[in-house]
Amino acid sequence: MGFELNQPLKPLAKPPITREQLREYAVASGDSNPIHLDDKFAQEAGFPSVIAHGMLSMAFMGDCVNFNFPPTQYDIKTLSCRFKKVTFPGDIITAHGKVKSIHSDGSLTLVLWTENQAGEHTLEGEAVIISKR
Amino acid sequence: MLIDLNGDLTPICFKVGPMGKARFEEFNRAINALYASGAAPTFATTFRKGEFDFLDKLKVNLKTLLHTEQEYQFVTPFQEGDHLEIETKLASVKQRRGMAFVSLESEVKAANDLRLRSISTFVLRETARG
Repeated sequence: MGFELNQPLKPLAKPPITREQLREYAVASGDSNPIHLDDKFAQEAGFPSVIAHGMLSMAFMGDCVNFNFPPTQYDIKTLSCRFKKVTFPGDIITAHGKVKSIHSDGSLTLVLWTENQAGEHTLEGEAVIISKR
Repeated sequence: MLIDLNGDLTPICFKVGPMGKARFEEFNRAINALYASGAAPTFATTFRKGEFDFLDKLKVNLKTLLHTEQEYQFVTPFQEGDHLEIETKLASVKQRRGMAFVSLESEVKAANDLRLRSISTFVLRETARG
């Protein structure tokens, strides 16, 4: 399949983040920092309530790469992001991306970002992918 | 004090395994992954024990901590049955104007075969946010 510079990826919208999901993610990931689980702790850290794990949104970003470039056909060589804005329970996160550059070895550099329901970028990042063929 | 650099700064090493389908699937459920099987791109976040233990060695107050950047460099894919060895080390520390910037680097290997490298960067602030 051919790709063009700036070609947008199919966006991937996730259901609203729930506190139950944060508890499940804390168990699955091993990140049980109380800032994600305990409102009182989060408030003492200056937030109105618990905040979602940034790595949960990065997982959505990785899932968007898989959505567009199935892991049966492509390998991800690198995946990176900056956490730009905090995400709260109830927020709806959609992962986006586009083709930034096309390399002579067939690999692609992708620009990636996640947005909340207000259209604010919560993460910004990049990935490099290459076809398994 | 945001961070204590006078203590033990040696890398933290630990082992995980064997890797099985159930571990991948548990993580995939937690992120509502499109693909139910196999290791998701950020599955390696399940090996952040070394980071949390290192932050503990640095006497970091979690209320002052923000994870600001994350990078994964993938070398070879995880395999079911992998017995993994993870080494987490302090890659860099910078302190200025009431903040500290800490990068921790982890290498995940199976039988000395590098699976991936992970670099996590955190900011610590003098006071809690707000």
